[in-house]
Amino acid sequence: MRNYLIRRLGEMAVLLLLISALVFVILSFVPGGPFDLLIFSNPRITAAEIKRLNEAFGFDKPLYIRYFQWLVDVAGGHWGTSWGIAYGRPVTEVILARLNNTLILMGAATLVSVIIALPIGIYSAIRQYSWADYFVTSLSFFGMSMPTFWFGIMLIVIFAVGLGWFPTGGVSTYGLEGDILDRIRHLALPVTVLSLFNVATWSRFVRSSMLEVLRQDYMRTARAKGLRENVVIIKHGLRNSLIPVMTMLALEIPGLFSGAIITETVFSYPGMGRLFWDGVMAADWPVVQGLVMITAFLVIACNLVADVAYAVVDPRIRYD
Amino acid sequence: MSKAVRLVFVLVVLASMVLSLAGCPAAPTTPTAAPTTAPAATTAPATKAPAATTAPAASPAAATTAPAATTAPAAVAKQITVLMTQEPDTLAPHIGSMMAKEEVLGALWSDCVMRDDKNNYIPWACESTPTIDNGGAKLVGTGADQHLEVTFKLKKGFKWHDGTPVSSKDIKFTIEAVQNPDFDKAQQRDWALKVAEVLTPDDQTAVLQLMSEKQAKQAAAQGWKYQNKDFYAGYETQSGPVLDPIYFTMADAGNHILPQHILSKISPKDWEKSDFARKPVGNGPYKFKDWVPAQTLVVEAADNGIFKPQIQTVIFKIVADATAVLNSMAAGEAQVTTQVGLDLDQTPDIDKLAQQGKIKPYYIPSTGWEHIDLNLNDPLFQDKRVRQAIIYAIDRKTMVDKLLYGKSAVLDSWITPPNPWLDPSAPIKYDYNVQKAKDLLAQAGWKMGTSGVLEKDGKQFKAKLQTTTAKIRQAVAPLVQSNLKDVGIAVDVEYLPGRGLFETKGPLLSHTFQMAIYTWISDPDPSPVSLYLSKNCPDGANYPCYKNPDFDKLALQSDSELSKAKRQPMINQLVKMWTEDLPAIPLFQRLNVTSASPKLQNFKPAPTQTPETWNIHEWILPAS
Repeated sequence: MRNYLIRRLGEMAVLLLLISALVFVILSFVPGGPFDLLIFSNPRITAAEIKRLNEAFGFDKPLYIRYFQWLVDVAGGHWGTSWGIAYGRPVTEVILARLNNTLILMGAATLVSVIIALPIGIYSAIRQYSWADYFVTSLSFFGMSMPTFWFGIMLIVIFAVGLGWFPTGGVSTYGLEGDILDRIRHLALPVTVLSLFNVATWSRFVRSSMLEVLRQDYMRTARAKGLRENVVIIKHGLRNSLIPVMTMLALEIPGLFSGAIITETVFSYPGMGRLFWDGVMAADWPVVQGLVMITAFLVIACNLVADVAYAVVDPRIRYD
Repeated sequence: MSKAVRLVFVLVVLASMVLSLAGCPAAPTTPTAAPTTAPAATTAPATKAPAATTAPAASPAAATTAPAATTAPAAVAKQITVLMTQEPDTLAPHIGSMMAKEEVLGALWSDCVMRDDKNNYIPWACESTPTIDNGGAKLVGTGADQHLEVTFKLKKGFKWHDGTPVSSKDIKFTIEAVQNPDFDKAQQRDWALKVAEVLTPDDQTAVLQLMSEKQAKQAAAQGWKYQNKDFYAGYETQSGPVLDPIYFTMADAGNHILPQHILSKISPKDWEKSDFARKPVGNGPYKFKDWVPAQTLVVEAADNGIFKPQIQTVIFKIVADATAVLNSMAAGEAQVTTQVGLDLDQTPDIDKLAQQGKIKPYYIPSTGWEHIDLNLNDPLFQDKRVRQAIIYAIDRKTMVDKLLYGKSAVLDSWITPPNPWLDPSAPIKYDYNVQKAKDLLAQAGWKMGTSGVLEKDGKQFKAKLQTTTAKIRQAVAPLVQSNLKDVGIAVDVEYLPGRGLFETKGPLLSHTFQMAIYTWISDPDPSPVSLYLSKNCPDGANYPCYKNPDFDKLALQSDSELSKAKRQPMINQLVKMWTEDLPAIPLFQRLNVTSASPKLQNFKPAPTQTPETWNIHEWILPAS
């Protein structure tokens, strides 16, 4: 196990390095930059001015030097300076300002989804082909096929504009930043949108995983031992069926940090998803690079965590 | 999955993720540019003509402080929310070029001279607009030493938010800061580079001396003060004093005065990183209070000694997009929307909300003017009768009524109304007239061929029309195409994504286009020199390559005429010549679309890129 971990961590470092180089190179080829707007909007700008701005931002140096400079900076904890979202501010500061919002939104959505999806999935597995199962199944397909942007806007039109129960977007009302109720009012609609999709997919996942377990021999054995049905389902069935579900949830962790681009945009929610979007739109490559690296790190790390967790939970799996 | 495969897989997924996202930021969503520059490729490059003029007459209405509050009811709202779809990248003046920043600075700064909603320059934090006519500006010296001297006199009692008086030394500091290469992120410095010296005879008075011919030549040879000679390229051939069309403003938008007592302690290199960039000390009717990134930026009423705001707190709220703006207005969460948010596309929704009495929309024809450039190097367009036929053949009235929902008007020339220089009788007007178009084409020797396309000397009249993918142009181009088909001109339309049209090697700049639709942002000054002087083709912004010696001569002559009374007839004559020759087909003015609560008083969005907040201290909102 230890050797396995060391090998995986080594791979991870190489992979992250490759990703960072790739992203850096790709972004440097995308048109747009900190003074692009100025150059394209002012046909009279002189060559001297363009040269001056290039030097000011270090664009006069070759790509590989800029990349190594970036690497050295990152090693020292400096992720660069934003030039589009928040001029002159460190990328880490820009990202941290949004991270909290996204963690709250995605955390709430994940919690709500798990609380709803688990019982639904288990129930519809136990009562397979009952009317309740059919009902939940059709509801899942509704949830999965509902486009988030449309559903979000509908919720806003009905519950915010029409009924006035909730705000149309944002994180909090100015002056009420610490107010929990105000926060919840702002979270209600986006969490509903995010949960609808999660509940739909996750409950299907739990259902199928549970169904598989229910067919296992040890379930029959457990019943044959004379255990009560509740104990059979929860202790033997649920615990085993949760192994794949846990893997799935582990792979959701990067999403907790990277946020949801569409939902955050529809609800004007200043989280990581919208930051990524804003960063791309403002051609703020240092911020975009930072976000991609965080996401890449989390995706790879969570894959590793899921693999390890698998081995811990399921004794049949061993890494040597 | 083997490890190698897995590695490649992850790489590909990430790469495609980045590519797919990076591929989309084509021009339409680049941040809206501030007044110092024009909107990016979706609209067009901006121009500023190098000419001197007298200032438009100052309107007396806004000369002093807020209007008497007699009309306002006793109960006045304490707070107002202004929506924007972009967040300022910084609040430091002169850095960056975002319109969203200018909206906030409109509240935080009071400029010396303000460009108002009638497109007039009015005295604001200064006592008067210094013009040649009122003696505030004058030519001093003789021969190669002759130079323009402009005197700005600050209002008495004008002070920074920390109580320090705003002094003429701050003006000197500001101009020298922008000239200073250490202020390496300064975005717009061409105006400041024209200033040779700033004198401060007393605390209220700053005298800007623009360069004389001699100084200009010296700058071109060995640099000037802070800057090396590269920045004065073109001054070698300067003849006469260096002038600026908007000399009476200290620059159009970059004229926010900087506080010397704060910034002189910080190296200009570090201003962008300093507290000042996030919590500036300004001199406007409102002072900075709070900035929650990506959410709200709050300012509150201040005492700057010259303006008295009516509303205590202004919250600038950042929302994601136009839909969010409209929903927020419909839900009554906000009272004002800015240019940074709505545009023409939302017209039906805006009008619906207006009918419900929820908002009052403002569609202000702006200084951005949409036109078709015709490449006069192309034999097809060399005959001016052909160009006149084209303008007759295009149903511009329908274009405005249908595509712009009747909110704008057909444009006659490059001078966009309202503009004090525009004499409505000057331009030749062309109404939609297919018969006249056909007659003119026949006179030019074009005969209708069998396939419905005009022919001459065995060649068909076929042309390519290039434009960007902006929504409005995707609607305008087909209309032009179908109008021209009616008179026998076959047009092929090509939509160039992103900045294709404006690329250095693109069709416009390389003069390989035939017809092109895009926007110019017109200058406060009517000089046509940068756009239509023959020497500005091929190097310069004269993309149609209009060459008319008479026009050149008169344009240059009018540029050096400082008296408005003498210059006006010249401008009229230039407009007449241009509308006869038609190097470009003017279509319509683009719109600044904003809205406000119907109860908000004194909300006066401008036709220029002046932010909606320019007169924010005059806004009054009765308490609901």
